[in-house]
Amino acid sequence: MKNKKRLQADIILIVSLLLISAIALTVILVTRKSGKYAVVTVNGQEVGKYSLSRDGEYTVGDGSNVIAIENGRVFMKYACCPDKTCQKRGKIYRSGESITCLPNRVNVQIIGNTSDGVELVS
Amino acid sequence: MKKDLNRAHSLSLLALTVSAAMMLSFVESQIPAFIPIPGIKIGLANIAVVFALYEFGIIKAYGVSLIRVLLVALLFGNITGMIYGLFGAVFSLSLMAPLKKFTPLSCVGVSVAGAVAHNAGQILAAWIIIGNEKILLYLPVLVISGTLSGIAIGFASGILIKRLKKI
Repeated sequence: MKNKKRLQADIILIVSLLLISAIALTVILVTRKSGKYAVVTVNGQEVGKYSLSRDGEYTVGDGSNVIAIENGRVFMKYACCPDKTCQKRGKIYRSGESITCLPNRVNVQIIGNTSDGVELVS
Repeated sequence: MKKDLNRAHSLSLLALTVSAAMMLSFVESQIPAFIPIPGIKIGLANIAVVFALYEFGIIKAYGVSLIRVLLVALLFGNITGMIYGLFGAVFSLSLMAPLKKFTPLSCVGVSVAGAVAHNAGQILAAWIIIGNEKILLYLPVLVISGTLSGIAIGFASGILIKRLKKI
């Protein structure tokens, strides 16, 4: 009898934990807006596609620009041009957002909103 | 005299448990992660902690768990790892102890709750360290993985407790 009660309590705990997290996961996946990749183009030609889930710094356009990815957000860390507009653009992470460095013809765009269910932290 | 002997006995048992926990941590660190998400792991060292909780009581289980975290961080890890480990260990035991005492849960249920609390504690630590609240979105995945690994660890600890009672 005691064993049966224990088993019941265990099963209730496990099932409710799995159920709650499955529901939460679904809600997160449905509502999330963050993109998955930063696509970098120079002169209209794609030179790189970087995952937002990995931090890093990438030099593009023969050293004219440095793009950094940090905590799933992308920003222009360095631009050789004098106006630095792209550096002031700040951090972007939603799919569709972009940073453009006009003088150097460098463009960074966030793409991808597919929910593959595994990569949650962007 | 007898009291001294008992103390020596329990001290060596605790030391054995701590070293077993450390060995389990080491073994686990050698297993390659089959899912490339940090935080998803089996948590083998929890076998020793659950065992300590059931056999030696709350305070000694805390001792085993915290000493393990400190020693493992000193031997194989770093300070950041230690902070994560401490958050996980404290959260986990602080939930397991009352559940064991006041609810009808078996050691499987207690271990599941402990694993989930461990993950929650680590996420909280990550939130504090990284300062990005988006990391909380990660919790449901970890709750699922924690529940599954908690079941496995709970069964393993249950078998261990039963077998060692005979000795």
